[in-house]
Amino acid sequence: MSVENAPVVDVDEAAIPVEKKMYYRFESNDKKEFRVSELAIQQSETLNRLVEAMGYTSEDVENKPAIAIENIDGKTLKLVFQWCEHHKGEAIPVDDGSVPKIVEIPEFDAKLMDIDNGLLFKLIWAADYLNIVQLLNVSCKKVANMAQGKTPAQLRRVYLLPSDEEDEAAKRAAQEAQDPRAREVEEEFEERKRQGGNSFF
Amino acid sequence: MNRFPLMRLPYVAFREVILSIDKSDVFSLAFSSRKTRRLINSTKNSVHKLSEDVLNGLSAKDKFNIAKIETLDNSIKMTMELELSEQVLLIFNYSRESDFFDKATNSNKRSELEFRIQINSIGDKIGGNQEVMQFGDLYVPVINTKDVICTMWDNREYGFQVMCQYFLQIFKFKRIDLEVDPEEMTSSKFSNFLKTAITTLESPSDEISDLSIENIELMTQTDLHLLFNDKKYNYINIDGPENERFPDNFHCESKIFYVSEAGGFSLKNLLNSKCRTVYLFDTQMTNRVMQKVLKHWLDGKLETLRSLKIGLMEQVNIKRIIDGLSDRTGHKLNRTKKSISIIRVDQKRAVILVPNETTKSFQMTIL
Repeated sequence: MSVENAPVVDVDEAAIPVEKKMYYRFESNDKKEFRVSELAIQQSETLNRLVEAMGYTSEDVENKPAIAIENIDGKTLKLVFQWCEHHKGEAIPVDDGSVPKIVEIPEFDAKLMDIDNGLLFKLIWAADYLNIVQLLNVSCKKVANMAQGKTPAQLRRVYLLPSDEEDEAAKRAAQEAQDPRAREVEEEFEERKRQGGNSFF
Repeated sequence: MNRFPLMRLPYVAFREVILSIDKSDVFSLAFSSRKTRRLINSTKNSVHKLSEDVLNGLSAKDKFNIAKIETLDNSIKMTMELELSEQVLLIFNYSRESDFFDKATNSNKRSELEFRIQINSIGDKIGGNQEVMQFGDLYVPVINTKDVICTMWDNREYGFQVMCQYFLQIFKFKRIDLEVDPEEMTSSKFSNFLKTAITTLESPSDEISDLSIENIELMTQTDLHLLFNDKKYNYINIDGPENERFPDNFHCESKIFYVSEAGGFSLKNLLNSKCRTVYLFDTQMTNRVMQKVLKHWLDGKLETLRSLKIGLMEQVNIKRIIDGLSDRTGHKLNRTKKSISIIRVDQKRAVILVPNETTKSFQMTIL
């Protein structure tokens, strides 16, 4: 995809200083390209270190291929960079150790995260992978808020948590799958059933 | 319902979610499965080994949840006190390992965790938000405060019965104690509560129960029969009755029997009871009655008694007490400055303390 056709994160042109801003080009695993400001990139420790290590000039950015982020799709990456652009220049929060963590979800973030849970899952995964501390904080807080006032049974449904019995059954199934003798017995049982035998023994 | 696959998050993100969940909700989450609980306990928002500061900030409901979790994980045993008075309460208490390591004992310091369940009428006016809590298969309206979970019932006697049964099922008990005061209850209501309490006391526990009674004079013969007939207690504490006699047929069995304001407690009551250590304060008993106590002992009664301390209505006069034993034979008397030993035919020995100043307190130990 050409840079011209790439989805570009909204940028407030009026807010751009007179001096030329440095932008980087990134490409998602589904070949969608994004131009992201250097300041926005600083929200991601992973990307910030990457571009620092690459030492690109403005010309390099235009002439070389976009930096590939192979684990994240375009829809998720768009949300990530929208968030980074909105919060660019803000200090990276430091964990003060309070438990439970006190995290406020700003209005912009709440709107950005007004998405289905599948996409929210990908957004959290991306925030973790790209090490965007505050995005991880707010997105995890949104997931944490799903627990409010719920009973254990409701929480099992909300968070798709297996019960103890289901965990045990899965563990047994995994053990049986690993035990070749158990598999042989199972196969022999199936074979006898096919042959019309009523009893295994 | 919108669902989110929490367990499929990378661990760092999972930990962030857990760290952002309020403590009360973390307890609910910890009940969802053992695996979830194990993962929660790997974070700083653990439901295990909570610090004193965290515990002090928790509500009664949270503490109840901690007890349930620790019962599941560590098979803890607790004491339950059933309080039947103006308020009907179930008070739970147990000692637990805290997160504070004590170098002196080379182990984690232990701390007490207590929570209370109150049995209220649905019409009771209690401040706080009403919510619904599940106890077994039953959903009960409750008002959850810092110290107590107020459960609301149309019929309190039924509520008490249900809650006793529920807690007997989910917890294991070191001891179940009973504290009763019938003053603010109608007689029939009190009797119904008492029946449930006695049944609960008979449930399995490691130690025998403590019993505490106020206003015993308001209890019916049936109530007293329920409480004392064929029942053994560890410790019985009775307050009063100040100006009324204990029923003639009152009897009890315990390791320690303590009556303050024992003006109505008679020699017959003492002889009928089987207690090891007896403390009776402010009695109407005299030196002559103490003489009778000794005679009965010499005659082979009061066989369970090991220690007796009685506050007489007059100054203790050891000479008068001992002189009165002259009509009994076969025993020996050893006198010292501080005590008098009476040795029975079977070589059992009663040691009576000789007070060095005027006192109304008569003390005797049986060896």
